[in-house]
Amino acid sequence: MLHRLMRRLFLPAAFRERHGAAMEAVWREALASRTTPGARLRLWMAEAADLARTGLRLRRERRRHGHAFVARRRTTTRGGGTMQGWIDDGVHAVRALARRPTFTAFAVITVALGIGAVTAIYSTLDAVVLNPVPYDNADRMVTLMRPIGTSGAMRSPASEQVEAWAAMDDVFEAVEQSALSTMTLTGSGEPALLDVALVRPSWHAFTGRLPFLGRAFTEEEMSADARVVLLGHALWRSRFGGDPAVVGRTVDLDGEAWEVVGVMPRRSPVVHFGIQEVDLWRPLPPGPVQSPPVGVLREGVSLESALERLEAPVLLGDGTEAVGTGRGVVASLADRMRDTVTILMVAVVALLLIACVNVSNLLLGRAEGRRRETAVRSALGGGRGRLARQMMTEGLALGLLGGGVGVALTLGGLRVVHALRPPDLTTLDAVSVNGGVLVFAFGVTLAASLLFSLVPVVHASRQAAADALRAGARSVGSGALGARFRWVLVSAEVALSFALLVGSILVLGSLRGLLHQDPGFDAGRVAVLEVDLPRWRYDSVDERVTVLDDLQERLAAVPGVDDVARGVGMPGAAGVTFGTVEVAGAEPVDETFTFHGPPVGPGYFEALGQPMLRGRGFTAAEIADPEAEVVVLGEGAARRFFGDDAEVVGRRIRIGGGDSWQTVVGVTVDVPMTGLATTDRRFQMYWPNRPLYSTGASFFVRVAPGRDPAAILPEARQIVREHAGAAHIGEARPLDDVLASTVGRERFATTLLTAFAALALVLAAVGLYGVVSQLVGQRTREIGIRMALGADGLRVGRGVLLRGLGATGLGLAVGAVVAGVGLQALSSRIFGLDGGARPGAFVAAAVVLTSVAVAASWVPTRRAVRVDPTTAMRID
Amino acid sequence: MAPASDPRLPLTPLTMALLLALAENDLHGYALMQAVEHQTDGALTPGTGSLYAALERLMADGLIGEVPPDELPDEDRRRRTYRITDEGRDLARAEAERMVRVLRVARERRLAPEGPTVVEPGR
Repeated sequence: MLHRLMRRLFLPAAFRERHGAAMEAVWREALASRTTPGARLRLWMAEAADLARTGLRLRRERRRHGHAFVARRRTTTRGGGTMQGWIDDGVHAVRALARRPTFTAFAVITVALGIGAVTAIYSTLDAVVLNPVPYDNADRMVTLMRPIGTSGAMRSPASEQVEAWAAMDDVFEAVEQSALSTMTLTGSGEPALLDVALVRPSWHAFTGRLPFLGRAFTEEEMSADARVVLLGHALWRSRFGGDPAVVGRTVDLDGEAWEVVGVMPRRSPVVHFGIQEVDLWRPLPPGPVQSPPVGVLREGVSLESALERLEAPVLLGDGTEAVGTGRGVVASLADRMRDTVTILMVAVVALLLIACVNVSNLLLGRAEGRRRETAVRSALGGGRGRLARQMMTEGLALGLLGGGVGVALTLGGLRVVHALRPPDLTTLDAVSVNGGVLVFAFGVTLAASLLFSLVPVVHASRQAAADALRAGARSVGSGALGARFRWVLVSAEVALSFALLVGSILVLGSLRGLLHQDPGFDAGRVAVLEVDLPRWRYDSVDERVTVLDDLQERLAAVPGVDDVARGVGMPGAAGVTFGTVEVAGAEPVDETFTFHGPPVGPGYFEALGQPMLRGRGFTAAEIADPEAEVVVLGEGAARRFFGDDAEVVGRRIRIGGGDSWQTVVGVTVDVPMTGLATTDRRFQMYWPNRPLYSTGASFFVRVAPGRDPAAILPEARQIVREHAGAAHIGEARPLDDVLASTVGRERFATTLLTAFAALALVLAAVGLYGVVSQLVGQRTREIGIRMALGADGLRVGRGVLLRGLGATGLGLAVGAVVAGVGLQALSSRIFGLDGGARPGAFVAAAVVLTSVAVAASWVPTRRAVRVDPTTAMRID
Repeated sequence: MAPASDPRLPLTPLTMALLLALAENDLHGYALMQAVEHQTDGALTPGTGSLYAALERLMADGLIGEVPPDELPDEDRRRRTYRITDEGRDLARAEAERMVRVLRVARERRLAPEGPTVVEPGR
């Protein structure tokens, strides 16, 4: 059907006559040979381009040779060939659109909103799911790891394993090791903590990224562990003003002079479990590397077969054996966002459909208005095809205009996407409108134009033939078919917006739920201040402890501060411990467990207002004594390993089969250790915060009741700057805020989904308003007569209103089914769609839509019944 | 006619690909499309428009013809099947020889890898 339409549009009639049937058959087979929707879409696009090109060429040849085989079978009203006709129609269409600027602007904006939204989300999909790693061989990159027992957790492989894997040259093209670290840049301006990649010269071949200024590291520099660095693009621009002369200069890093040998291009992330952009590159010192290597599979080697080889045990230096495993880099990055972006894609496609329906309706309304013109032309011998083509051209012109504006909107929309980026989603930074996205936008524009032109075209060509001039001098009354069709379209719009609205209400509700869950501590009264004391400045443990103790005392002395405690990390982003678990006096369990929880200092639980259920927190003496083997368990962990009623305090537990047994000194409530995104608390365990664990600390500052924890942060920062000048301040936020940012991904999805639902609602309202007012406009005469004959304005108005509501009701019913089915399909894929409060969301969405529908129908209706009957009669 | 002076040369890639495909077998439309794709490792993927425009031109020039339905097995009768003519075969050969000459020059200029020697034209 569509293929036939395209042939009609592009190819000369005689050619179609000779080959149409054969082409149709070939096309069917070709289409059937493509199995994925993507491949089909590409085939469609290629075919459309091919038909258009062929049409042009045939016409050119005809003009040149007067070739018989393209001679036209019949002439249209204007004569000329198909292509000429197309051009004429194009000019005609643009003129027609220019004559009605309001209509045009309205339609263009509607299309632009739909296409802009789809393009913005597609470019997100492209950057986050389809191509998250900017390297050519990214799809063959595999992070190589060593599983920890049965826990599903991973760690970096042993160096013997890496050696063994690097030797498998039938599996891997390369196995590349690199590491991440931080360094403090001093010299010009504030000290800055920089992310640093430690790489070998082979890293450039591995990623295909070479310095665009200067050179890469040499082998001599590698073995000599030379003080040379490559600057990252962003750092080069921000800190060195993008000056090419920086190559050859030295910079102060961690108190030493390093020579800049080059500058790396934009988007050159380091690849590990995922990817990370860095500020600097420096040579990787010889010796074992504490981060997972990344292998590049040979062309043609599948991940499965590589995994089989990785699983072969490798003998380690200590006589034990270790197995390995791997994960595709792209897959592990894409999986995190695939569902969210897919849902958003569904939402924007629905939005685009609504936009198309709206424009379809506008065009249909216009076609109704031009029916006499159409009828006259048809009667004078204007072919139906010709009329259809003309409307098609008009639709296409509208679509292209809308698409252009839409892409412009996308550029704005991407700023919103960037602004909403959750902190842990660095791949979103790479979202941009690139060539692929533009091609996609163009394809969508064509498809949308076709879609919204189709209904009026089919409708008009069906009608034009039927009622050529039949209706005499007066305007042709609104055809029953046309009107019915337009109501159906309105219902479709209502249905789609209803489904979107239900989805966004559900998601909003569950985000609210996540944000308002009881964390188990007093997050509203606590601020967190992360301070890192760089080793190059504070190199002994004693010195660091003295500085941290001093800072803690000073922070506690700030007016309005009730209490200060110290720990490492924080709830919402806690450390992890793995291992088998043995309980003294019980049978060992052969299972690996994962515990979440940070090392904490004395007074930690009091400062956070986190209740102890049994026992106590750590004492200062336990923290100071490295021999004190003590832990505090979370509620869930205590119940799992000691049962409900047992006396837990004083019992002993051994994690990971080490030499030492830990004594449980207390049990506390479970808190959102891994953030608010899940209500699953996992097992929790706190360790004494010994100074050698870390070069820094998180200060938990509890403010007096009624005080805002954010308000003390400026003073707290000032204290750190004054009394620990070289220290680097990391997070400095209210704990509430820290927790809220752990649902960044959910917030991202919710904000966009809500915005799309709101937009859909507006478009549906506009659509309804448009149809009702056009309908009322066409019936003004009738209404006028009825009013003149003494009909009650209210009753006349009610009729129109009821039709609007009827269409809305039908839309709601269909929408409820669509939403129900859609939610069923998507429930497992996005948070909050898996049950609970469903009827409420449906009712709320229905109420919102119905009110909007009443308003949108009532305004034009009221205007109609207020018309003076004599004016109404005179119209036309 | 000496191949070098044939004004129809060089052929377009699609024309040549179609002649080559038909030189092996009689084929119908979709099979031709597949053969062209396969032969060129996917470099040429004609749409239906180019395909039938090219076929029409080849027919008009007498380089290919349609196979009469009674020569076809029953299940293929509905489809138009094409067959190369002797003239088509000659023209394809002339084009191939032209390509060989191009290849030889390219090899002399080290623009193409050495390979098994192709039959010298005119032999």
